[in-house]
Amino acid sequence: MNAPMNDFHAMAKGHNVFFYYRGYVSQTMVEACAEALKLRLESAHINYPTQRRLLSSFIEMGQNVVHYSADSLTAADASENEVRFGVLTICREGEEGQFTLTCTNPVSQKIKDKLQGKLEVLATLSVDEIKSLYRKALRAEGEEDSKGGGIGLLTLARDSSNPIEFSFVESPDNPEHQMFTLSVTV
Amino acid sequence: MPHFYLPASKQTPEIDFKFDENHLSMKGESYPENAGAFYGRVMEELRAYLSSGSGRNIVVDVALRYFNSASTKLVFKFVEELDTAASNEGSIRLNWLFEEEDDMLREFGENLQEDFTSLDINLQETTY
Repeated sequence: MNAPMNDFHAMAKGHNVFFYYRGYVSQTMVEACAEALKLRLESAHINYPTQRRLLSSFIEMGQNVVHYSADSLTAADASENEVRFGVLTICREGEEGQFTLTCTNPVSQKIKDKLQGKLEVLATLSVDEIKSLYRKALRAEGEEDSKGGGIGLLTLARDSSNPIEFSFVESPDNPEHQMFTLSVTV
Repeated sequence: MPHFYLPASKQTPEIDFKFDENHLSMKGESYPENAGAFYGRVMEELRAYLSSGSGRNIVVDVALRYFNSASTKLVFKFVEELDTAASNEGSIRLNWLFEEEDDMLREFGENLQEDFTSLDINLQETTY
């Protein structure tokens, strides 16, 4: 194997990378990865609530990329078979530790402004406050530009054992895009 | 009304609505790419059934091992629709099944019990 690949693998191992994907994501891919992850968690005898939260958060993040990434191979108004760019990572703190799930994808400035406001609030709330907002959101009518009923971020925040973390940085490839990163722990 | 049946896929639950027996069931996992499209059909069938009669004793089994956020909202709407119809029927019993260790789905079921008091909601542990 060539040297850069060896470096890459060594670095991934050093950072306890459990899963890593960088590229275009589709629903089919989310499903296949979730299935493989599920078997891996079962065979490693990870407790059921953690398995459940990890898979739920992974699917939520994967589908966020498929629905909302600003870099799309499919038509902007498509509602099925979408393929969009993102990075999905799962790291584990040591052999027995918690899992951190991270997703990164480009978003427009407009989406950034919207997400930032929501996430800044979510990151400061207690578990009980998140649960209460979640129950309220279940009853609310869906937001117009949401494909998930507007409770995706609340679901991720609810299942995370630490407050969700997020960042926006300038996209190196497109001056109109920001790279949005979201992180949860299960 | 004719029997409404959709087989399970990896991303969508089995839908088995035996209207002539007043027994409806949803079973499996739910995270389709477009949850609105999938549940649109299911809700249409449910509404047609609920408006086709009254005074019935209806049993509904919901055994969803996992559902994503988009599906959650539609499952909630499904239960809400049943709750609204309950006063018109003899009784509606909703069996909410979840894996015994699944604290989140247990809590979801408990919240349904608080939110929808016209239904007889029965929380039931199961093993998948």
